[in-house]
Amino acid sequence: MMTYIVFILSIIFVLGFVGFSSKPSPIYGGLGLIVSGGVGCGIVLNFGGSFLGLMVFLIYLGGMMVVFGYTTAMATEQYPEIWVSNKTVLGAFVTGLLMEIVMVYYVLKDEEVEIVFQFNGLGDWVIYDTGDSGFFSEEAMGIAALYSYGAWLVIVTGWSLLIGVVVIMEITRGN
Amino acid sequence: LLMYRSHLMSSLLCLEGMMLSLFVMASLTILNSHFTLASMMPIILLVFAACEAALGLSLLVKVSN
Repeated sequence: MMTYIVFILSIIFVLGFVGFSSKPSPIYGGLGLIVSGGVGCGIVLNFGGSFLGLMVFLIYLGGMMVVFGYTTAMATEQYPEIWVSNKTVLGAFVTGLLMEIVMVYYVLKDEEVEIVFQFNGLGDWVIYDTGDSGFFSEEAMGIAALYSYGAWLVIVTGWSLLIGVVVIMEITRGN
Repeated sequence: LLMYRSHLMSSLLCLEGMMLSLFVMASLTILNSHFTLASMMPIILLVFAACEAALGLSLLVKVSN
């Protein structure tokens, strides 16, 4: 079972996406996004990207979902609708679920799924290819925080974030 | 076209979902091909996705008041 952990996590990832893209009330959509974010972090961690996965967990789920939760609690106050209380929402969710089950069945039956790309067998995406080329054992993650080659990128990103903060304050001031 | 519901907030949530899926796909591709120098690209993508989500939320707050 442990060799198929990425496969199982990716199924839960797609199910979480179907859960919030069938558009229930935004609080439950946020719940689906939190589930998908946590499972997506697990997928990236299983490929050896420890910094990127934990950054998803900390900044994306911890920061942005809290902001979404506050704004949802402030801006929408009515009777929330869950997945089973409206025929449209339930129909969209069941459609997405059926499409995912069909695709999983085709992947498990014969070892090749060709829709847009061609997935050759279950061992192409599930078990990571360890190239293992390099003497310092930091591989692809220790150079993710490269601030020597990407200094200009860091400057541009910081400046655009500052401009974004100024724009948001001008928008919410507006009289 | 037939997916229109009555919340702007759920479209912002779907936008965040698209950014998350782009991040995961880019991270897996870069990690699998050992393209070390492009490993900062998903982080920068996440930063700009957070920025545009904050902008969308502020516009939502201004529209619904």
